[in-house]
Amino acid sequence: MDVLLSILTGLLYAAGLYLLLHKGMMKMIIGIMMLGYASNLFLFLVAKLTRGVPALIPSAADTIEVPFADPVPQALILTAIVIGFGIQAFAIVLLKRVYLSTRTANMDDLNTTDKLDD
Amino acid sequence: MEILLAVLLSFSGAILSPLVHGLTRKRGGALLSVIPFLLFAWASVKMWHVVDGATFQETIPWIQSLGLDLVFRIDGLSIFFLMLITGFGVLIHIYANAYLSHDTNKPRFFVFLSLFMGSMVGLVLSGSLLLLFVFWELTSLSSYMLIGYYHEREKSRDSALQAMLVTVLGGLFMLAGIVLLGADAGTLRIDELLANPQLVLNSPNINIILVLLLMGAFTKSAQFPFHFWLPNAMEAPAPVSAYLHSTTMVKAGVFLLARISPIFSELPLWTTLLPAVGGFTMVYGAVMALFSTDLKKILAYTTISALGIMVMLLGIGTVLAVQAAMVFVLAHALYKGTLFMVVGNIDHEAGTRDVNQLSGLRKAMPFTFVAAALAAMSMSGVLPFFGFVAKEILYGAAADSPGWSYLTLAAVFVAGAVFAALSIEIGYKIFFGDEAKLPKHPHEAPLGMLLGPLVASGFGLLGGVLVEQVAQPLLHHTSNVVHNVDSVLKLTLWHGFTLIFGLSLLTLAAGYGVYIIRSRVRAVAVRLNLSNLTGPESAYLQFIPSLLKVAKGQTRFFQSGLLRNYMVIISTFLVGTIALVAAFGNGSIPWANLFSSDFGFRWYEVLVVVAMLVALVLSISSQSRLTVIVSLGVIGYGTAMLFLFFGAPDVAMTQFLIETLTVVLFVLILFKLPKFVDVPLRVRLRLMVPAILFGAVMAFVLLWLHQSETSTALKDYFAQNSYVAAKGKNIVNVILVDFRGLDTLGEITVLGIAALGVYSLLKVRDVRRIGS
Repeated sequence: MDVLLSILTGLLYAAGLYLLLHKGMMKMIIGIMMLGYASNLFLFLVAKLTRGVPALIPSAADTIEVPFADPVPQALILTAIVIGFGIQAFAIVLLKRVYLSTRTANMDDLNTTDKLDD
Repeated sequence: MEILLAVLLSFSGAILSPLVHGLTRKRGGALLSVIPFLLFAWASVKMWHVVDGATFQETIPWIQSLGLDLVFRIDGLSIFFLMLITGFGVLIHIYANAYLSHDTNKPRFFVFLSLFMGSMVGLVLSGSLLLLFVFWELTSLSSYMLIGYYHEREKSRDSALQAMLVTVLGGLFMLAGIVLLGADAGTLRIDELLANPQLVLNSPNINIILVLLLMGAFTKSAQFPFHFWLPNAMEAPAPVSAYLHSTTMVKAGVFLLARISPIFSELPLWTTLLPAVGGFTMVYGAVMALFSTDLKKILAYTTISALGIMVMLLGIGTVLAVQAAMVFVLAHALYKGTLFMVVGNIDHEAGTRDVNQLSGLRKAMPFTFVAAALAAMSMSGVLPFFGFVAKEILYGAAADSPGWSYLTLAAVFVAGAVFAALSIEIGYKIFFGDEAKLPKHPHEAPLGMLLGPLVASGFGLLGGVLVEQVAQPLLHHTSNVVHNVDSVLKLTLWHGFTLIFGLSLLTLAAGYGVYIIRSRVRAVAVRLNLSNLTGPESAYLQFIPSLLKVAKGQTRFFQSGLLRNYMVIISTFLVGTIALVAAFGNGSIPWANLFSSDFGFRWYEVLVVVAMLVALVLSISSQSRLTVIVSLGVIGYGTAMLFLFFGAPDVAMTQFLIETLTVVLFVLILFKLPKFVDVPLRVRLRLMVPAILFGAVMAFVLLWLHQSETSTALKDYFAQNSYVAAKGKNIVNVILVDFRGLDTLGEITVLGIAALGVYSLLKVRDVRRIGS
């Protein structure tokens, strides 16, 4: 299963970058979100997978015995999900604003700020 | 602490200048001369101890991780240069205060000047090569600001940049040499290196180290072919030229050579390269000086020539040659510093520096004339000036040199004759004769601008007359430090009618001859276009624009303005580095069992993955925005399910919530968003290449990680401490709110800022429509 999930993560990364490379604005947003899923899964898979043993200390004990799921990546993912949501929401609204202001959804038209003076 | 305080004091004018000028704008600079004066007094006291044979050393821990301590050292060599720097510091402060009296930026000038003086003081007092390098670079930086002081002139800015680039380039080579030396010798402390030169001499890289160090010295001391920045630096105000370009900074290279001479002077490379480069520079500088008609250019080229003499003498390396070098450093500083200030006066009061225009200034500028005449006589080596003493010992050292002594003598003779000719021109020609018509009606310079040249040239006379009482004890110890043998320096004004004295007289006669034919020589030089030869400078002049062109080209390439290209560059870089690590890294990759796992499958897990794959295909291929958003939702919920299956219920819950929110947000503004643009298959295929490579590499990293051992230290730590230390049973929860509580606070802040951004973007009205 961990092999299958690794491949799925790779596919999500590939799809995310593929969409980001499009010049259409919509595709870009989808791409950002896809990269977000991929990264969360990536973090999750870095630790050894376990089935059905959350990192909860039994009520009678002070510490937990192996096996239990690695809590460190989970904590990181929780942060990542929330921050990722912030980025997505901001990107969606920003691109909508850009689209309404410039009337173009083509990212290739939005390169004036990076032009080098001669 | 005492030496450190002295170094700090030497920098203090940089802070005090604006305050002092706030008190008294007119005399601010003169008031600041108290600082070098105090330092000079301190140095004089120290000198008496040094003359008695003492050395002072102090170590203050600084950046110990870099092996960089504040090691300061006072010995015969550093005290000599320290007195030169602070002594001239006093004169230059007073001179500059008068010279720039009408300049609104005067306070700023003194900030730069103090920075420079502090850097020089630090440089000569450094007791470790690394510390010396730090101050070395500071002198380059502060000289950049001083040369470019008239920053509104393009020529001035270019010259400042050129001087800095050339000396900093040399400094970089020197740093490489220092690092190499430190690695091989195990220490950078000068006392340890001097006590045990074998530490360096045993290094297999000894010649490389020496060449790298010489690059620093040669660029700083304007040796051919790096000399060209010095004539260009004459764009600087006169006090800067007098201070940096004759008495102190350009001698930093000579100082470095003198510092390392006890270590390297036995090497064949040292005894061939230094005399060759120095000797050539000496003749080349003299000839170029003769070709020039701008007084400042003449002085700049004779300075180059004089620096060549010093380098050559240190390279010859006999006891007499080293003594001659140190005597000449002092003699040159006294007369050249004077002449630069004299020329500053003439430029300031008469409005031109062209020797052909100037004449008859004696009546208008009597005191300037006295200083000029005294300095010129010292420069040409007339009895009883200190320059005469220097010239005698110089001839003595040249005649005494172990190899090529006739060639050396001849070269010194040529340079000496040119020096004499130009001395007559500066000290006599421009002051006598008819009073010429000049851009300004000439009159005597103010007192502040006379004090410096008169005092310095007066010392040139005094040093000659009282040579046994004043110069000898000081320079005796200086040269003993440089050649590291205890020998006796014998300086006398009058040797009797020796061969050397005859040579001195002959030089003066030849100098007079050159003076007579100088106009014809210059005419020939103009006809052959010799004075405008750029020479090695053309390499610089071509290099800088091509460097800028390359910089522009690569910026254009990487910064195309197309988001797509940025993404491709970033992902390609990532793929490339991981491929490099995989191919050449230390870890071996278990290619055979990369896909093997004993974790097993459950049917519901596979079902979720299949659903996600279907959604994935749909989301990249569908043209309907609604379908894509629903597919995205499926992928999001799918990952949440996976989190749930594999022991992460908290993460799953968060993912469910966020996913829902995202879909809601999307649907809310869906129809305000642009439609999909149709992309031809050819383009799509081209975009797939980097994407698939990227995905493959990321999957590979994960698979690779599964086959390797990972540390469980953190996992164990949290398992042990979550309840015991933080009283929480849900470990993930405890990490977030307790162990990493501050991170979570940061996360909330980020989210808050994003929310503010979203809100304001939604509220803002379309005030400015771009493109309409």
